[in-house]
Amino acid sequence: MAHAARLVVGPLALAGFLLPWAHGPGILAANEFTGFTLVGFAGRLQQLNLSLTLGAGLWAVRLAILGVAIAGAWQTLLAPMHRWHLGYAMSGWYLVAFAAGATVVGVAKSGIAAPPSGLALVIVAALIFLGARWATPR
Amino acid sequence: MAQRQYGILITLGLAVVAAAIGGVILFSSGRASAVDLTTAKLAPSDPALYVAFNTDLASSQWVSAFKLIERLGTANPEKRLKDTLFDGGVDWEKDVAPFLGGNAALYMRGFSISDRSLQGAAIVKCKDAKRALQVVQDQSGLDFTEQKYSGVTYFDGGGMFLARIGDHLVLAMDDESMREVIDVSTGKKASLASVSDFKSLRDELTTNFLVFVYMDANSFADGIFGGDAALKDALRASGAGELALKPGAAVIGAKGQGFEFQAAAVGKAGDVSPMLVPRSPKFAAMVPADASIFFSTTNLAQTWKEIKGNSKTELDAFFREQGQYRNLDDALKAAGQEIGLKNIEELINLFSGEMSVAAWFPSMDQDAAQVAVLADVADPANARKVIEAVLASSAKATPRSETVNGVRMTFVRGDSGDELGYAVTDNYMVFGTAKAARAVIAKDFGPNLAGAAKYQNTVKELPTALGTFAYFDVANLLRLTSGGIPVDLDEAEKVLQGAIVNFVEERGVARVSGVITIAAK
Repeated sequence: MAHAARLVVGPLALAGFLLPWAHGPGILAANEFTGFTLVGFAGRLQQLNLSLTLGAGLWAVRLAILGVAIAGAWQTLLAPMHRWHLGYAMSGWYLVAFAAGATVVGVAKSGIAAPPSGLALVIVAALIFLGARWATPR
Repeated sequence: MAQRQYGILITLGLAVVAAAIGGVILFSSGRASAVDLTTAKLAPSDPALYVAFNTDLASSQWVSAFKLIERLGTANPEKRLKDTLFDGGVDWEKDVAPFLGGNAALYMRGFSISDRSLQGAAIVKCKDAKRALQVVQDQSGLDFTEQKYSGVTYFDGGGMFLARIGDHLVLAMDDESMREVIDVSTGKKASLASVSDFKSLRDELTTNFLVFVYMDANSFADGIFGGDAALKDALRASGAGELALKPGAAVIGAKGQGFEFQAAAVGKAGDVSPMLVPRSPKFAAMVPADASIFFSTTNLAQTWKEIKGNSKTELDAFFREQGQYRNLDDALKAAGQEIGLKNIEELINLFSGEMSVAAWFPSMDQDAAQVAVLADVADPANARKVIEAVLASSAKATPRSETVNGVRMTFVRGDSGDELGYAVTDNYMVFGTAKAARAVIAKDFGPNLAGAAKYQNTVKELPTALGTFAYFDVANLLRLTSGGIPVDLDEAEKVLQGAIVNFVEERGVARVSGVITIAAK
């Protein structure tokens, strides 16, 4: 059971990356952003001669979101037979940390509400990783 | 294989996977995506005018546009837009957001100025077409009755017709237009998107824009002039019909440094093709960086030969009808004699290569412009002879000669009392106000225009190669029109940099493009 659960963490995170994470603020209310489109949108903002702090902040956001796709891919590759590799634990805990952070931001912004489908899948993936880890630590 | 080596191999594999995924996502998500003109798939195939708007406010175009508007002095334009609408009783999320599905368009066809009639519709790709329909119905204050045509339900408000077709909202001015859009949607009639001229013009212009305009000049002329056959014949006879009566398209967009526009026509440039060849202008490096106006063209003599060769009969008839001359040659001779030449073609023939005109205003007085004309020279002796003849015809005093930077220059006081100067070197000639001509030869003006950041930034933003173009230093010209310096330029004027209007023929298509650059604060 725990083994089967581990196998779905990566695909869930990857699917979540490509599904909606958030609606835009203000006049972008009509725009739904996936993890993928958020990386692109932050990139477009970066091209606008922003201040160093803002530019660095946007880079950090882009890399953090990109990390979800990479962590999902690593989980997918390592979960079947290579869980002993450090990359497996690193990517899993990254998903947990990201999901926790995203949940805090989401609750602060919109209160307690169901997250958009993409983010929900990432959170579920993180919870499954945690659950499997708790059931069989290795 | 030892466990340790196996672990290293997997680590390397993971690094490669991370790099590949990161690279692909960063590259593909950051790329400016094309605006999918879904509205053209519902517009009929023969509009006189079709104007489409990019309504994806998260697109690179709008992100750049809002940033440029901010540079022009409007703080947080996105918030301001929302607040302005809110003050007018419009709730952005409920009343505007449902309409923003990526693109919206207006098309016009079957219009006639003489009959004061107009057919057409607005088509909007919606995020939430159901809600958008509700908003229009509520805001219009009209009573709508439900109608059905070809299985599609639409609403007749007496002067306004509404329909929801898939995720598009259609708002037509008349019943016929509504039924036409429905026919296009059901495949009974061809759409604009399927028209080959429309497709090729879409391909020729950038697919990423704020506004796209398509115009069928032939239909447009019919609407304005009531299908006047004589007028169309006259246009064709003049040689302009090939370009003037063909469909054309234009786009307006925003880039990191400024706003741009591009236009292209299906017709060929024809006789003026020699002037529109893509090239790199060399005379920009021979005028001062503070030149406020710089015009550059090429092959004037060849263009004139083409026009004369192809339209001599029409031009002969034109001059004959004017009554003053027997034919074109007679007119050319008369014009030449006015300026001391046997025939004006002697002067035209000098301009067989690049020719540029630059103007600058050292004292920021618009009446004290320094102007220089620079041109390639194929036959220096002949060029000198022609210019001397022209100047002699208008000189008030004996010309004086002077050697500047090793080049013999001639100065003469003209009819107006201003001193003019010229020089002919082995490669080029310069002619203009005395100070300007001297500066070009002496090369003592400091940085040149080609090396100026303002000029370079503007050229860089141009979506096409340079052909025949005019460059304007907008900030300088605004200062001039404001009556000199110092001037309290407002926010917008402070950040405006350069503007270029450019005509070029690329891949057999005549194009007009332009850009106005806006500096970062």
